[in-house]
Amino acid sequence: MGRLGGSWNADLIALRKCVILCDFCIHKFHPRRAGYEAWRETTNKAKCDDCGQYSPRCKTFIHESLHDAVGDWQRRPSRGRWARSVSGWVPWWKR
Amino acid sequence: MNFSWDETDAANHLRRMKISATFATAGIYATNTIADGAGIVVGLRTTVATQVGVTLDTGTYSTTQGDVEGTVTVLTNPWAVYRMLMVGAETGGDLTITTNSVASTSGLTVTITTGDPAPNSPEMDEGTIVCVSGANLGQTRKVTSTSATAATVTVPFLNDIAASDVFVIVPWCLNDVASDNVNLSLNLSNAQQNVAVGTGADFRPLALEFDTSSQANAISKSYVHAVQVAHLLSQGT
Repeated sequence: MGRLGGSWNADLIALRKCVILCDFCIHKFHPRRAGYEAWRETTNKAKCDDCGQYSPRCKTFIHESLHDAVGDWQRRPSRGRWARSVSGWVPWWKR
Repeated sequence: MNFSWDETDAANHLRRMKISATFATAGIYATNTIADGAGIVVGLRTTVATQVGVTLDTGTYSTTQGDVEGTVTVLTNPWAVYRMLMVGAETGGDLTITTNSVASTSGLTVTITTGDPAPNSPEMDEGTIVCVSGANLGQTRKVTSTSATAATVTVPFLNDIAASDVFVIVPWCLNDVASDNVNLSLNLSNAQQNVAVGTGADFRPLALEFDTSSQANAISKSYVHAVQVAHLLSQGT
């Protein structure tokens, strides 16, 4: 029996797991609303959590509570006055 | 430990892996699945083991039917370099300082003050010494011999070493055959200072980052950048 990618991602978010999304699926996810932040500005080679396809251009998000442990220490804060204007969304010229 | 960079500039490879032990914290390294094990296990602090990568999240291992299968997301790049905070002891804390007690006009010898750790216990020979207060502020040298009261370098510090100059001695050195491991603290994320050179998990230091903007920063905000040597995907492992 199949399972919708969205429900799988909801489970990952509830467990504060990494969320990995490919180019096609990234726009379905709002990281700041879910309490997530982009792990790195670069793309990663991984399996998309939504469509299940392996992609060399995945984007990874970590839960904000894990920022100190595994986050990018040089990254601007994702909340507050000096937060990025659009967290997680990466324009095509930066991918 | 945080991912710093990939030595080969390769893209990051992420895998969600099954586990056979609970990964309670993120940013720790994992080791290979053992025979009959259900998945990867938490890496060891002080010994060498076949490494798989570093986790980006946490996972709970359970053998109870109906429970969620335990998995963690692992960064598997064999050439990934990780940034570890230097801490003074296995429980964490600031780095231990050494205050020079005898002036050295040659710039070669740092003599400890009573109460400072002996440079040869734990053995710091082949480690690195950095000046965090004094005329040689910010300069680093490789320690090439030690005694119970002094650490000596081969390449002199640029200026005379005055009494009361403050140094930090760490058991890591870049590209060295002896100081080639990093002992992790109890949280498996930080690099422990008070161990002998060469002790620890199989991480090769590639860079030492000392914040010498102040003595307080130097002992609390300095980092080792190291790569996993015994990685499963490395050739020769």
